[in-house]
Amino acid sequence: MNKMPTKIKILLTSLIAVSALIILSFFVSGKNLTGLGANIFQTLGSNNKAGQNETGSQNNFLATKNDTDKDGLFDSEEPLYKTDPLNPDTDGDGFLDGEEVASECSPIVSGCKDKIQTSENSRSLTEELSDLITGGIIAGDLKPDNPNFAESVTALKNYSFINNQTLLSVDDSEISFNPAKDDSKKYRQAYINDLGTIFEEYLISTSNQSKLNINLSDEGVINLYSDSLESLKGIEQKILKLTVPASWVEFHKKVLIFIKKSELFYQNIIEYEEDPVKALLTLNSITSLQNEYKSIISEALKEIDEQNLTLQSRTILQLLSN
Amino acid sequence: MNRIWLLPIISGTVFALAYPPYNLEPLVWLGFLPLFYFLYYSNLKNGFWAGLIAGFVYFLIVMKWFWAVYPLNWAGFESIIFSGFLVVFVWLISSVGMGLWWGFFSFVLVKFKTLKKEGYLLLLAPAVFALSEYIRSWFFGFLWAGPGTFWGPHWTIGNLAYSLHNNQLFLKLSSFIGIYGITFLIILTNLLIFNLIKSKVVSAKKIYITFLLIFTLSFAPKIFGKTNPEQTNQVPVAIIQTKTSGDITFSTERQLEEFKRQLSFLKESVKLSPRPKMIIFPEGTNFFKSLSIFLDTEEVRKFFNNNFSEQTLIIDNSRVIDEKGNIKSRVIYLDSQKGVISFYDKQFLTPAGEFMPYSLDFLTKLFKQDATAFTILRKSDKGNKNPEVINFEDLKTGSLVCSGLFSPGLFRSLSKQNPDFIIAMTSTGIFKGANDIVQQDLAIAKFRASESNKYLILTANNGYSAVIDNTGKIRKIAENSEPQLFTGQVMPIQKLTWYNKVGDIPLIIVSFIIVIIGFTATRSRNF
Repeated sequence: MNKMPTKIKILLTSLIAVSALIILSFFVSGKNLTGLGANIFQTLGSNNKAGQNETGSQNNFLATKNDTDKDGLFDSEEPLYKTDPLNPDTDGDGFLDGEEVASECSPIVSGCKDKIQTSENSRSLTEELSDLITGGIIAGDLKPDNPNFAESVTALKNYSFINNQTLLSVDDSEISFNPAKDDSKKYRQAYINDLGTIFEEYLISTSNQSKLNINLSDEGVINLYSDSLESLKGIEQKILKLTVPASWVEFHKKVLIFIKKSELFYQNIIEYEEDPVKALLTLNSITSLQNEYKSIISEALKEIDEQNLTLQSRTILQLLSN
Repeated sequence: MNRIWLLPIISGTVFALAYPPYNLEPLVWLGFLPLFYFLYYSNLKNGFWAGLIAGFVYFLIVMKWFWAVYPLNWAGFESIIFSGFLVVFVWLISSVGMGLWWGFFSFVLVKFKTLKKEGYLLLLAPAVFALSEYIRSWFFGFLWAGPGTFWGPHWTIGNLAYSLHNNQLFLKLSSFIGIYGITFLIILTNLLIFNLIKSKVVSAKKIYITFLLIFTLSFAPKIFGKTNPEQTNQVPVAIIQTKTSGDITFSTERQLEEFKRQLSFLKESVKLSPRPKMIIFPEGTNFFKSLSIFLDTEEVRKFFNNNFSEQTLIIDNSRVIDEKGNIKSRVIYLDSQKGVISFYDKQFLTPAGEFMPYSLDFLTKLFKQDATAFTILRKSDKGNKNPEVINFEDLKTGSLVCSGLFSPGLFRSLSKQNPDFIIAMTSTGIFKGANDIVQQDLAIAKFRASESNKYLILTANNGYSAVIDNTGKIRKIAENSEPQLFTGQVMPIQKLTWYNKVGDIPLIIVSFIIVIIGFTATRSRNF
């Protein structure tokens, strides 16, 4: 018999070891198709998931407790105010950075002649939320070392001023339209056919809505959202030019309000740099916006059915109708 | 280079020509002759290398569809240089990894060629090859392991048995001994022919016998094989074939156009006569997901109630986020009258298609490539449960998704629940519908249908949808890979095969015993 070379011996031993493992698992696994290996990996997988969740729930910058320079601002908050995390009095005016923030003074300009915002209305949501949290901590109502700190901050946010309605609120008194000469079937049909095409355009313009995992600090992403906003403005102009038969006026108003809300959605996100909290909260309102789109489609379909209108073929409304 | 090293290269090439899409089936009985000739005069070291080279060449040709995925913009990689590097890397490593087991087989063959009882080699060689093929089907998973790996003997691509997908005799045999049993017979025949002609003097008689053997095995089943008569009691089904690109930069306009086409086919299918009991989409259609952009739950219910006057089962595969926040490739079963009645989450995910293998992840990071788009738009999490049979009216069926077709074990986990027929939803979108992989998919599907004695409905994105009968014959196939409403009829069959009941276990055990006896025997002077 030929003598086996060492390299081949090593390679063969490895192959045999892999084979033995596979064959062993084949017999051990019994009814379980995925085998022994799968069980081991599934267990590992579930442990990892649990670990990730634990980490995830703690991954809140507001919950970071370090205040290295003991100035009343957490290290994680210092960048928000552009203060030095290692210097308790960044502007050297004798007031601690935290004190200045709490009294609405700038911690990076000496003295207190420089209010962060002079007018309550022009302050961003990010600034308001930061002030409320800092104030709460200094007053002792909010304790960063409390395990419920993150929840308290969320409650504060919800209670005080932030909700999706106000973020995307539209004044309906601004709504205008061109009334059709009459409410004949001809006008109704023309109106809904034009609107059907616009619904499709809306979907195409706003397709990046669903990309929720995007990084808003990425300039390219913001440009995408800016493009969407421009398209929406174009869509709004088209809607404004439609002649609206009497039986579709109420519906038409809803559509216009919806388009304006969508514009606000994109506007808020584009302003991410200036007001990140508002942008992120606006992103949260995506579901309500999507539901509103569905509700408008539903109403259109219902009306089309009731008014027995004939639609252009191969439009989304025609295909979804009965 | 010594010209004798051309022999393993010829072996690999000959086998590749026998395999789909080339389908020169008779070559499968001769493929190993050049390699055996090499091994006959070879030492252990050269024997191993010759096997590895033969396997490497074979798998390079069989898996050349890897090139169809280039460039990798569908996976979010912008750089064409990095794309090219990654494709070459995966193609070469896969071919070497698979060829390694042919090397192992050749090594063992050289080791035992001096057995005194020469006849035992006729059993030993096929047994070693069948075992190494079984292990190879695991090994591909090891090679491209990642967070979504579904461990098991699933990757049977390149199994020589699939070269016989037009051979009714071997398709029938697969319902008893599966593809590994057929592999066993292929090697046995190769060895028998080699033994016939290995002597220096090759007589005309031996040549005649060889030709007769090849003719009998390859052509006789086609000439004398019975054609299944048209059966009654058939169930009409409709397939909405699609041609959606795997590209993640697929524009919204095109997505909307695609969805409108699907809606249009769906509404058209209602007017068909006979009216289809089931309407099935291919993998990755996302039909229900698209529908949910426009309609809320109540409107979806109304849409199906109003458009389907008779109870119809609509089956789609959509990428969804489950209740735990994981992304799943989900088969959704919707009864037009009752709503969603069941679902199955794809278990057998494709490396680099639905999850990033550790090795490629490492390379991506090493070369500082951005894989964010892949993570957001392609990544899926593995389903936790084996596919289950669902009941719809008086019918029972179940679905597998794409790569699930490659796995005899996964397929059997469904077929042994005894559905009336089985559905395989496929997509070769990322391969841009490359002919090689589409033809290989079809060949593999024929074996799965035949192993389980079930009609198989193959729905294709970027491929050919087909209805394959329980003997592995294609009853009806789409004329092209363009989007279309394809119809067919399936016959509910309840009889389980021997393979359904026992799977590959007996063949693997017998092969294992043969190998163990062979190894033990090397110590005996009389063996």
